[in-house]
Amino acid sequence: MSIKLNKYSLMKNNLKLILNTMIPGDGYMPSFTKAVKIETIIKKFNKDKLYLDLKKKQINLDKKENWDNCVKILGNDILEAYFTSNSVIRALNLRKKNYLRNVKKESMIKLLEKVKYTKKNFRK
Amino acid sequence: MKREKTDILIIGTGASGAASAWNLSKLNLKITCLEQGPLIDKKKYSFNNVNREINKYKDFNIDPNQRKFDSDYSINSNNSPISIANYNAVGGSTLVYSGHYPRFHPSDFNTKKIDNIGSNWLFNYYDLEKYYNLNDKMVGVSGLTGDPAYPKINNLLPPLDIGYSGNLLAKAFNKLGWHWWPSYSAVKSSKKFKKGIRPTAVEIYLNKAVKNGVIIKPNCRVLKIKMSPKNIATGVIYSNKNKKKIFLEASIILLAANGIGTPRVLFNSSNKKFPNGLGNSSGQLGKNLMLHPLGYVEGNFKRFLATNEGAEGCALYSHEFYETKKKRGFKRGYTIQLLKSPGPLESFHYLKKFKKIKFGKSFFKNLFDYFGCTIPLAIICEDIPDKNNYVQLDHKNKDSSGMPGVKINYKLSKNTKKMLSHGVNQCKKLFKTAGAKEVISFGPVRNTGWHLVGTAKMGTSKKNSVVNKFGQCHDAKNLFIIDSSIFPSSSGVNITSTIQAVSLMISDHIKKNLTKFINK
Repeated sequence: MSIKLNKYSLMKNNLKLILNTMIPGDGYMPSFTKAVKIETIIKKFNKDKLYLDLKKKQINLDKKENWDNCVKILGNDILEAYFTSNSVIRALNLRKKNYLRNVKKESMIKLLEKVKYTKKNFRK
Repeated sequence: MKREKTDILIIGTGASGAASAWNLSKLNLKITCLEQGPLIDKKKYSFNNVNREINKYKDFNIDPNQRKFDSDYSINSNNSPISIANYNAVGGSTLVYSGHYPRFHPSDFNTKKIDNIGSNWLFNYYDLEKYYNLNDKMVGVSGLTGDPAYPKINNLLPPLDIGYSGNLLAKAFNKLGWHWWPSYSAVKSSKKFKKGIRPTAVEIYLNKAVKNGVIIKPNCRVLKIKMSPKNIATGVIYSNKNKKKIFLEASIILLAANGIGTPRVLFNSSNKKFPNGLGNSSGQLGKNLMLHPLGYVEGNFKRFLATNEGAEGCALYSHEFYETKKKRGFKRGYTIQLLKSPGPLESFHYLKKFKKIKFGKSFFKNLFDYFGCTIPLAIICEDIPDKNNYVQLDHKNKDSSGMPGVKINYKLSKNTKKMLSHGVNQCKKLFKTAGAKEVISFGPVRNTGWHLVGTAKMGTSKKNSVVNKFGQCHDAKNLFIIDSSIFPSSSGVNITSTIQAVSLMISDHIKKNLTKFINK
């Protein structure tokens, strides 16, 4: 039982490393496993060969072949899970607020006044 | 074969079928709508932004050849630079539309008369105005009264915010002295409907029609319209969910299957008397296909402007180049539409296509150089009717009921190519004025054939057209076509508003002349 648990825990740690290397996070955005529960990803690909490999050893991501394989297997699923997670949506909103803090908008109605004077009426 | 009976039959429950279903629903008659697609739970299509992005690649993909649902039929677009987009379900393509609701211009109804190109309609903007107003009220259209490019449009809901990107471009339009105006958007149909989410034909019309007693039968595909020897349509043969064929007798039939589906049903209804298809005595059925070729120009401002937010379809538009000007070298014109840029997921897929993003250290740098920083502009070109652009049955690719699919034969005309190129150049000029750091453009965009017009045109006689001004088929007086296939011209704007206004006008005509068709 404990061997099984150890293998699962090894796989989980190895997978976590891969996922956080793929989406590492930045000043605003959380890394993958801070945003998404890793178990949801495990469920999706637990029949894949990668899952079995990760139970045995860590995968060397510096090897291009390994990296490409991880991207191919995990790419689409992790993107969906990541960008639909609440913490990512919150982070994107916070990022938006900060970036737009000093951007000012002019009144639409004022901007439109010019159009009314320069444009002739429609063609009948 | 099992037999059923109804007074009025409507084939299709999209924008046009839904409007007429509601308009006729107050009559004391049995009204049945047959819809080849399923009834979809509202929660599945009233999605938030992120779910919408995911769904675009899955259940709500606009390409029927990729979806390949049981309710879809094959549309072979190999012989066309533009492929067809549609959705088959109760509510039709309005389940995936953007809810952009501009009206046609008065000039769109008279292109032959004023520009010597295309065909004239048999009624004008002002004949339709009452129905535009009614439809706007039913839909809940937001916008701003006073656009100098249109006759006055009243009773609009307050306009949507044009956003930071709209603000930036509005200043550029003003610098160039070009027309622009905040857009017309479908925002809400009732107090219960969540503000800001575009309503579909289901919420606007169908739910109300059902309350009034209209019967909607999903997963029921019409295979053939049957005719009597006296040229009266007697009913239809349809295939139900279990692929059982049923004859449904009807006194009046309204065909609302869009510019591709409508000629498909009519071609498949050929018989000894009409060997080339029902309604095809003129030889015009399936011809004059118009698609609104679309140019795409994208400006990257290299700073975050939340361009991914705002109106679902179009925040503002310009009709500066809508009408003919001789010196441009082409006739008629186009709309420039400010769209919202893709969300994070779609941005990733877009960048991946051009190998501009990788997982790993540079992931967010790559993503945020694009996401929310780019402004997309669409150039919606008015398409001109041409008999060499046509649809035909594709007997090699049949649907799940054994009915032939459709093949599209379509080429861009010289006029459209010039128009598209002009539009791209003007948008580049606009972006330069607005201070964009990088501009890319391409067109025509392939997966944009969602405005399907002209394939069963209206006209004065069965020698030159399929239907009369009230959509009444010249070959069968109790068969009415109420969708965009009857439009003689395409305009340069989105067509849903006009589709629904025309459908309301035709169903009003039927109401007024009911005794000619039904003895009750």
